[in-house]
Amino acid sequence: MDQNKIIKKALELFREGKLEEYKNFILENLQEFSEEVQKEIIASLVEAEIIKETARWEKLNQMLEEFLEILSNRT
Amino acid sequence: MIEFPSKLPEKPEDSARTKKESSEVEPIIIRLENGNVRVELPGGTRINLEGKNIEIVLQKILPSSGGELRIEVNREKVEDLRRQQEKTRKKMEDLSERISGEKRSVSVQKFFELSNFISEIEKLREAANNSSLDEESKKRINELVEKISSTSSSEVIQITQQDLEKIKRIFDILEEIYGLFREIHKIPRKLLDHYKKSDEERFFTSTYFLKIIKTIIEEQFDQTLSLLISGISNALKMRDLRIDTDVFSTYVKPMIAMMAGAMVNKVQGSKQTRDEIRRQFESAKINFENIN
Repeated sequence: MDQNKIIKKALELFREGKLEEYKNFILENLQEFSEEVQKEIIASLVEAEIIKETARWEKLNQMLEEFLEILSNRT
Repeated sequence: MIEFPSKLPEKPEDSARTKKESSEVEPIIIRLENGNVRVELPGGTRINLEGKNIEIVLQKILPSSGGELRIEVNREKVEDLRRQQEKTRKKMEDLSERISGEKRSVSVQKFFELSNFISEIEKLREAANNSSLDEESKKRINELVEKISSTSSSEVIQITQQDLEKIKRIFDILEEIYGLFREIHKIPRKLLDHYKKSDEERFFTSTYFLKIIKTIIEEQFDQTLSLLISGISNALKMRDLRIDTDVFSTYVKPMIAMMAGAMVNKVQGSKQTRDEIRRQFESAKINFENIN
């Protein structure tokens, strides 16, 4: 599939609200694009994972804080 | 005509990456180890992509015998993660000290892997259960540890209906730009006429497009991408259409990258297209070389 068709199809999937399909479609067709485009897309998705991971550690910290509070109440 | 920023951004916003801005980016190494994708951030921090679609793609792209992929991401985001993990490590030390009376140092690199973290938490739960804590506190700790253990790394991005609508509008803008540049050899005369008018706002708007044209025909993918991202960020700000960075990185940036790549690809190796664009600039009496 040529690059223009991939872009059009991806836009169509997004506009239909098929978000997972949209993401998968881009990943499945990644190799149709130049190496620098591939790297940008991977970097962008990895960056999103880093942001999610940060939020997860933040949540864990809140729970550990609660853990510490329980121990503090005992003493 | 597309409404666009009245001022050209001095530097790209968000995490647009260009070679000139290497100080704002953090290099990340991705490699295959026994068929598993390892993503290493500076300082030994790792993120887990297990079971995610991107992992399957990387398994296909990465060379199986020791090859690696180096990518660059926004330094601030990596720092945020590192700060949170450091906080967690300190809290774990505090907890072990409070429970066992001694500060147990945890191997940082191993600790940041989820399985090690959970096993450390389990040890603390066991110690707390064997301590002289009252039953109610023990119960609360057990509930808490259950919650911590079930905090999955594969939580999905929270995207609201409002975000969806905003992204659709961004895509409308992008598609308009993309449509214009797909026919780059037929740059509309009105854009060039627009540029020549003395009105400052129109001048900047048109200059923005002319800058993109220049980066495309010079095959500067990084600069084209950077201009598109900064333009979109500014257009969003002007319309009060802010969206979270994780949503932007997941859904919007890949589309911008594909479009920038396709536009650059369009002129690659096409001397005819380049010559035609230069001719149009000359006939509009615009010095192409001086657009910067």
